Amino acid sequence: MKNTMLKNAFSEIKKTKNRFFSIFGIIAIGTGFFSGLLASAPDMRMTADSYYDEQNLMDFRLVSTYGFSEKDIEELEKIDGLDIYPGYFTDTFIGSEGSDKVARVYSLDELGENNAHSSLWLTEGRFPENENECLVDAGKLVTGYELGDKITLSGDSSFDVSDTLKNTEYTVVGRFDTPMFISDTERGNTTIGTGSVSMMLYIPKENFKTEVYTQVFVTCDDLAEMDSYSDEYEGLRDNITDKLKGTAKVRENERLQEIKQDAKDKIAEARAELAKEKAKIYAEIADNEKKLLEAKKEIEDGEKELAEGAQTLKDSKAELDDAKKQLDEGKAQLEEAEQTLKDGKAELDNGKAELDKAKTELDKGKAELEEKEPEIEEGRKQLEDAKAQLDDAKKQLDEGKAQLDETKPMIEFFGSIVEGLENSAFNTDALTALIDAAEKAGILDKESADELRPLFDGTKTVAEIKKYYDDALKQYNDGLAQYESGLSQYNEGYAEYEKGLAEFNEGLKLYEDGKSQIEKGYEAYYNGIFQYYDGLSQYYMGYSEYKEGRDAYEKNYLLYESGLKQYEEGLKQFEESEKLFNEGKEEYEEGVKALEEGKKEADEKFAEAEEEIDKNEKEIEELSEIEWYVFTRADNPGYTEYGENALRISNIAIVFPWFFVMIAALVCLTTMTRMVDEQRTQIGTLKALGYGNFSIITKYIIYAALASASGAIVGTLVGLKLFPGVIIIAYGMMYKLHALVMPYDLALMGVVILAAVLLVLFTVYFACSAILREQPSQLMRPKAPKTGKKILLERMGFIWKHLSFSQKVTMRNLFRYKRRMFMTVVGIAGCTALVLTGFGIYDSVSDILNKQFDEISLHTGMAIYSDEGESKADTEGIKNLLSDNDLDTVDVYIKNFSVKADGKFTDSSIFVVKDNEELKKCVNVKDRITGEKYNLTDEGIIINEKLATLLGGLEKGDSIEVYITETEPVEMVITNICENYAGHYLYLSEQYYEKVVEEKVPYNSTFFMTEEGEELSEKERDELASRLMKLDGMMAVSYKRATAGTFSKMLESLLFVIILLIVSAGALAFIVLYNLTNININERIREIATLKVLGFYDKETSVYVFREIMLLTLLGSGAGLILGRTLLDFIVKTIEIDMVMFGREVHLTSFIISVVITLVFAVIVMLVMHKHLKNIDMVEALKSVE
Amino acid sequence: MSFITLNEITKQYHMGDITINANDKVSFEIEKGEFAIVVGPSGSGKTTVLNILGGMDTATSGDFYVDGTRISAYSRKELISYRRFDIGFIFQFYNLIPNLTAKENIELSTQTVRDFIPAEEILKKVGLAERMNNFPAQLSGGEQQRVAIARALAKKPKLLLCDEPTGALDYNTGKMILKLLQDTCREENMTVVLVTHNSAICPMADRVIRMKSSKVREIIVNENPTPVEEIEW
Repeated sequence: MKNTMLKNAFSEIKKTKNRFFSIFGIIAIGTGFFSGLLASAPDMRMTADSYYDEQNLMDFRLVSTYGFSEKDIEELEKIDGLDIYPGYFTDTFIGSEGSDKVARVYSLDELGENNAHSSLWLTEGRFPENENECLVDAGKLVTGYELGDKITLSGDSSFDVSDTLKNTEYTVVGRFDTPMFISDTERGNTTIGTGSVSMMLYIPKENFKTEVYTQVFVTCDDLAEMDSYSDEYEGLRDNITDKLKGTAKVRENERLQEIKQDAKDKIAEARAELAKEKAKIYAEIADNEKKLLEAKKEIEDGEKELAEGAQTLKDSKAELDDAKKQLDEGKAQLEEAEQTLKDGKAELDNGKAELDKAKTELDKGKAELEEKEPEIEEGRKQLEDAKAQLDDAKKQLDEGKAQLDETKPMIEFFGSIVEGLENSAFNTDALTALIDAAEKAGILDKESADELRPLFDGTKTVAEIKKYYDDALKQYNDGLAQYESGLSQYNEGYAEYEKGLAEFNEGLKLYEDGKSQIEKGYEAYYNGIFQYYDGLSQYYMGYSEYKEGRDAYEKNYLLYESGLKQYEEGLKQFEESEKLFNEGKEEYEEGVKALEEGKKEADEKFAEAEEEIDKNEKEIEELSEIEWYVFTRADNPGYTEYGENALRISNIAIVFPWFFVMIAALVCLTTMTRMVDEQRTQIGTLKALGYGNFSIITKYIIYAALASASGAIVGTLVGLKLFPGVIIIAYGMMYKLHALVMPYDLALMGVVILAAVLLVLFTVYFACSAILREQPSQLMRPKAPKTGKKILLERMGFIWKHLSFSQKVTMRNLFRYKRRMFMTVVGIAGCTALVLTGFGIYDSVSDILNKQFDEISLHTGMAIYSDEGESKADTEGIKNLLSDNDLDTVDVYIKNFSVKADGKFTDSSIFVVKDNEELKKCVNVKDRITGEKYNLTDEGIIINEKLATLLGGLEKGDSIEVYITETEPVEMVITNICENYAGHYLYLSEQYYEKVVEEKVPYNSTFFMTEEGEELSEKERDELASRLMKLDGMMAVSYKRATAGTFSKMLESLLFVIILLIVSAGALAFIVLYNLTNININERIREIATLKVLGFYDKETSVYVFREIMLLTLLGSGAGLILGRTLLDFIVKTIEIDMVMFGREVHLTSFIISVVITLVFAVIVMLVMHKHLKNIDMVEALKSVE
Repeated sequence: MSFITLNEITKQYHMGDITINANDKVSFEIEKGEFAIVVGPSGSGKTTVLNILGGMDTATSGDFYVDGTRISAYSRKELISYRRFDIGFIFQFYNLIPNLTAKENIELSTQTVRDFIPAEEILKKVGLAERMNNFPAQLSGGEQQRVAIARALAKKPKLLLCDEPTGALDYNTGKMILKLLQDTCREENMTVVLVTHNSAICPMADRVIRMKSSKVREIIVNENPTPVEEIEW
């Protein structure tokens, strides 16, 4: 059975996809929004915290007025659980002298150490490898430095960078982000330049020349494990801060003592040194006197030695000249021999050349002869061949002749026979006998006889025989003629052969003559060669003799030259010695003079040094106190604001999603009710068949559970990424963070999904409960359509009468389906309320910007100078500079103090000016609601509204305690409460201050303002600031516009969140309207079909249906405005932080836009539905009566 | 040409690959002022013919003319106007708007046309003057059907189309409704086309069109229709 129900549920889902998805959709949106918003703030914090942890952001940063010594570090390391990372930093100008952009330069530690000095997030490039390389921060305040660019650091008139840093020019090798500055627009304050830091640099720490560490980063493992923005973290942090301050207090004193002691020791040392020096110097003087005396004696000895040397030189010169002469002679002989050798050699060479030439010709001749040899051979062969041919021919001729001779007797015999035949009769036998006879006689051979015999056998005629004979005769004669011509040819050939033979023999003889000539030539040539080599060997012998001679000459010459050189050196040495001697003499005379002067100088110098030491000794006694500053993460620009932003989001998250939940529940209820209603017949049938209530409801439970569970799963899966993602990215416009951390919070998901399913199941139960109570028989019948009845309005005839027909119909329909009306109104109201709240928050926050910076704060900027009174700061200079720039100035004493009233404490600034007139120049002091302007009197103070609220709703005439000194509060009386949005202020006059505090006002800042309607450009502001900062005692310059700029960036982020709200609200409105309209139409489909049958045009039909929806939408919007306004008040109060008051007004445009946006959604739904209505099939709709 | 002429009206439905003929070349004519009954067993296509004739549905092929106008060539919008001005429809289940009183139901219809009979007058005519301000749920079936007839007649249609008007009513009430229709036909010279499966009432018609299996089987013109009162079934 369970199975059937499950199947039933699935087929139901298939059949009613729209309905399934509308539950799915509303649950998905509801849970997505709910879980997403809820997770946003934790995700924001986690994203930041994971970035901090990953980059080992320090938990504390210590700075001291005297730096930190090794001893200080040791003391710090004694505190448990802390990691201490001492390092250096210094502030310099970027670019060459005269630049006003300030860089804070930090030292980079060994990489791999886990501290903020070394775990920077490189966005580009690499870490420095050389001393003159640096990393720049990837912020947007200073741009234009690319990797590989050089960056110059410089000081100004007051300090020199090269005092602190070894290098002043660095190559940019990388760009980094650091969680120390998650703000995109702030890098902290400084005391040089315009007063604010524009960029950060990291350079290898070897560059720092400073003796002591200038800062100390402190991290704590316990803190790292905590969420940075948690109370847990802040508790432990404050705890450790106290410890650090404890150490500071001790070390501040000790260190001062150490420095003093150190300095005293140094002075004592210096004195000792001085005394030592004095003794040394005077001893030296005495020594020198002695030395001079000795020198005098040396000079006299030298003079004698010089004279001796001169004689020796003269002797050696004469010897050298002799040797030179001998050498010259030898040289002339050698040259002659060389000439002779050269000539001989030339002759030899000539001979050789001729020989070579002859050899060449011989070789040529020989070659020619050798070439001819084969020719001769060939000639011989040809001749032999010719002879052989001739002999052959002769033999043939002879054979031919022999044949002819053989034939001749037969022919003759035949001839005689033929002759006989002509003359006598023919007798065969006789003839045959004749032939036989002839054969026998050997006249005829057997062959011829056999040939002849048939001729005479009687068959042939005489004529034929005769013819035969004639042929034979002719044949014989021809052969004879041939033989004769052959013979004559042979004879000619033979003659030619003999002629050829003679020629050949002649040629052969010529060849042999040539050959013998060549052989003779070679013999002559070889003789010549032998002669040549004899000559050559003689030449070489001569040459080697010549060479020996020459070597001997050269050796002697070298000897001579070295002798000469020695002589010359000797001469030079002598001259130098002479000069030295003269100089020495001169020096000696000068020495005598210097000694006297030195004595006098030393006396003076020692006197001065003693004076200097005395002065230092005095200064040490006057050394000022050392102060350590303990900064936490909260002092990093952007850190605290980010936390506050997260808090704001988390406050929004608490309120908003409940709307979605409520509306989702309503939508599910309507949808399920409709579904159950539609299936009443089916339910009736099942009931009639005996199914229990639970079995019947199972199908709807499965259906609803599937829809809601899948919706909730999809919703949370998407919502937990989408909402935190959009919000963090929106805040990413202001804060530089890295990887988004948005884990799926399984517990949250589980709870949300379970809650969604339970909620929907509850609606199922609610929808089913009524129908299940009915009898099956009732259920089998169609539900009677809601009967029409008179509505209340009809009883009020005066109104009803004035309504048109269609208006009446609409009114009646409205009240016919009360639940649906209620649902629609609630849904629409929720949508409008959400949109209005979104815009309202924006209005409230932007009012801070608009009202605070445009209406209330009237100054352009402020210059803050040293706290310690006018004596130190150049207040005249500041004022003159400002007036030169056409700026009006007001002296203000502004300082933050603890204030208390009604037992509640908070921090507030006191703002002291000379009188009311001066205050009016700086601040527009007025009432928020009435706009009434308040005057500052000498009888009391004016405080701002938020402060009054915070301290328990203070009113005029109440008093407030101000802790100007830490122990004794000063009581001040409130005369008025004024409008102010950012920060808390107590405004009071100079006279009142002096009256209650009983001290002169220690003015510490100058507010300045432009003339009405004028503004300083950014460039003018920077220029003015950097000029101001150069004056004595200046601490900082700030401008209202710059602060407002930061603020408007935050607004942009907020706008994103609001867009998110509006889009979600829109989706909500759409689903609600679509769903309800859809149900409405389905329920009334017969009615609508009837209208169509009656001939209502499409538009008329839609108007008939939509008129009431439009009316409900307007009604809902109106309700939404009221609801939204209430919700907004609540939210604004929830998300407001202590230091800020949000605007309390919602702009009219926001109301209008909220309604318009809702109407737009409604119109979109109607357009979709109009199409649906147009396509309703009348026939089908009217047919379907169960 | 007759007042109503149907010429080979065919209506096909496509169910996947199968084509079902609801009307197969249905042709007949009805003269003005006639009381015509289309009779046949259920599924014979009589309601489809009525729906096409009333402009609620369109034919797949074939022409039909009403009062000389070729209605089958009308666009969607012209069909709406046709229903609005020329046709009065009466259904088995009355199809009154439950949220409107009898009078309002009629006004809903008449407010769309220029020339109409006032609601009070027409309700009086159907004998419901005193029930004018009752909602449908407060009326009996016969009364509801009379309101439906009044709603149809108030527009002064050219043609009154009735789809099993007595199907949900008891014998006597049904007879009364039929009488009202017949009287209206006679007195107002109204052309009435009535669809029913009950052939017993055929004698009351001027013309009986018998349908079976989507086709017209027989058309009988009755020269002497029997008054309703004399018919028993």
